[in-house]
Amino acid sequence: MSIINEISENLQKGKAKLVKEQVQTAIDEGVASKDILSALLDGMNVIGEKFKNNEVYVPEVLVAARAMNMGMQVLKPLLASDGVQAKGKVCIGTVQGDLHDIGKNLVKMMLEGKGLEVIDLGTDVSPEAFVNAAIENDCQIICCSALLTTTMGVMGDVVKAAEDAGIRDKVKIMIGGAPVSEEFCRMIGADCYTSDAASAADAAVELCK
Amino acid sequence: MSYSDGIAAINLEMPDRVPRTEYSAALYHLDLINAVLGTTLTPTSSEDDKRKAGSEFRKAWDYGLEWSIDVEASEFGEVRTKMGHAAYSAGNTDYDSEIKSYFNNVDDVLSFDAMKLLPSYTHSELVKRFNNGYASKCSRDPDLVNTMGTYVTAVSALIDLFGWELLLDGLAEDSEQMGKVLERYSQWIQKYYNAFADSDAPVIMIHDDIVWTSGPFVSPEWYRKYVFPCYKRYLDPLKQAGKKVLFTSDGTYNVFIDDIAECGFDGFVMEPTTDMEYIAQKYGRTHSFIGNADTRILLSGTKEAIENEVKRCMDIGKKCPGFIMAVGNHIPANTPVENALWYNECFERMRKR
Repeated sequence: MSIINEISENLQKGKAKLVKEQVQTAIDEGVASKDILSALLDGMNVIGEKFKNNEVYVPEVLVAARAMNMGMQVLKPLLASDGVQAKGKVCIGTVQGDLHDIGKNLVKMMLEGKGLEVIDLGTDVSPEAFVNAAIENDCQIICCSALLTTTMGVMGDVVKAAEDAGIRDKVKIMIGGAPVSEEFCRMIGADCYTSDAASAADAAVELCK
Repeated sequence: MSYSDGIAAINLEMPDRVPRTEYSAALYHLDLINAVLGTTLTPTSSEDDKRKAGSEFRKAWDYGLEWSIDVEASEFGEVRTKMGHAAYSAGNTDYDSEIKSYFNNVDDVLSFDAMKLLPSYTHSELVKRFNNGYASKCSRDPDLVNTMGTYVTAVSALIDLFGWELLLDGLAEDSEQMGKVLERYSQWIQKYYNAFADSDAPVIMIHDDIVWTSGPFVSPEWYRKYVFPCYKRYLDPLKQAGKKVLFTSDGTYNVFIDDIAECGFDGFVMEPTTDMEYIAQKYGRTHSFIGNADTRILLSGTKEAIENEVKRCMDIGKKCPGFIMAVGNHIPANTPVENALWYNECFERMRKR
């Protein structure tokens, strides 16, 4: 099996340390950085599809994502020097008043698994903070997460803040979380609602095109 | 009337009116309470005033049952993970950003032994505590079914002990060992169910947030190997004592409805995304069930949409002897008062059999 295939296979098994070593080996052997990146993304893609089909669950996604991050730690400087760019930039956070982060973290992993650069704003993020982060980092997408009906309303404030800042036509707003729905997305004028992390990543890639 | 309707439903005796319960409204929705009772509560009102008003609200809204549990994460003392608390109640008085954990890493989690680290009580201590608690609830709200029960039953216990990140890490690292952690925990909490069995409470509520809105977060086989066998052990003394035992989980537990029935539960409590129609069709003659109007429709729906939602639930449940109406999973403080009042009006109009 080639080193590229091994990287993908071991990522899928969540073997973070091994993936890191094998990425370094691949670099040392002169494999192009974009090909190593493809191996990592392919591995996460397989996991993403399996996750959508209920063949793997959250723990498996978590360890696969960790393996990807370990590989990326080694690969990132090379990607930068080779001019390999992310497919897009996303800032993500849980909205103001809400501290739930596991769903947001899962979406972040899946977004990175699709080759997107993600700026994680954490939890309890104000509408202004979302907008400022999008402007400062030149993000194409703002991703908002909420777990309660008492906090999801802030997502509407994020849309308004983006309008007030004059960036609404430049930034897509995606929303998700347990109480959120397609109808709510339409109601607040957001661009996209997805019901799970894997679909969110697919949608984000499309929005960045 | 309320208690008799509630207990009749629990006992599958088809009361003349569909009983109801609600979550959160009587505790946190001060504007709604004020609108219904004519009180002037604010977030800074005394806890005693809020408690009394809550009881009056339950009376005014004819609650047949009050969802309540008694064993939660505070039972663990410092051996737990605090993940903070999002803003929920009126005035956001419950917001808490404290995040800290007793556990440092996955090794700590996978070696955790509840029997060694969590506090221990004798059977008689627990029975006394539960009887005092039940008496207190009945004194506060005498005309409805008061439940006693556990919040940190199995999966919810793991969440409260370890936090999501370490729990998922543990499951990823060694799901079998995590199963053993749960088994040890179940040995520790078993004494609570033994005590409930000898207590005065006729209805026991077992809460366990086993799934997400998207469904199981870990392989269903893991639940079947480790979680549901715990439930069977917990229910054994309760069933022998003739208690009615209801199961509650947030999220979507459709894939586990049959497993839960097989554990021996007498009733289901669910959120809107769990399939109440399936439960009604398969278990409507043999089990009670509580649910599942969608709180989001009360939050932002039209009067027509709210009425249709009540009708949806009534169409499913009214023909079943054990149906109890509720909004899932709560009527929180940001629900427009007029919408909540309209929902109640629709419910009162449609509840008569």
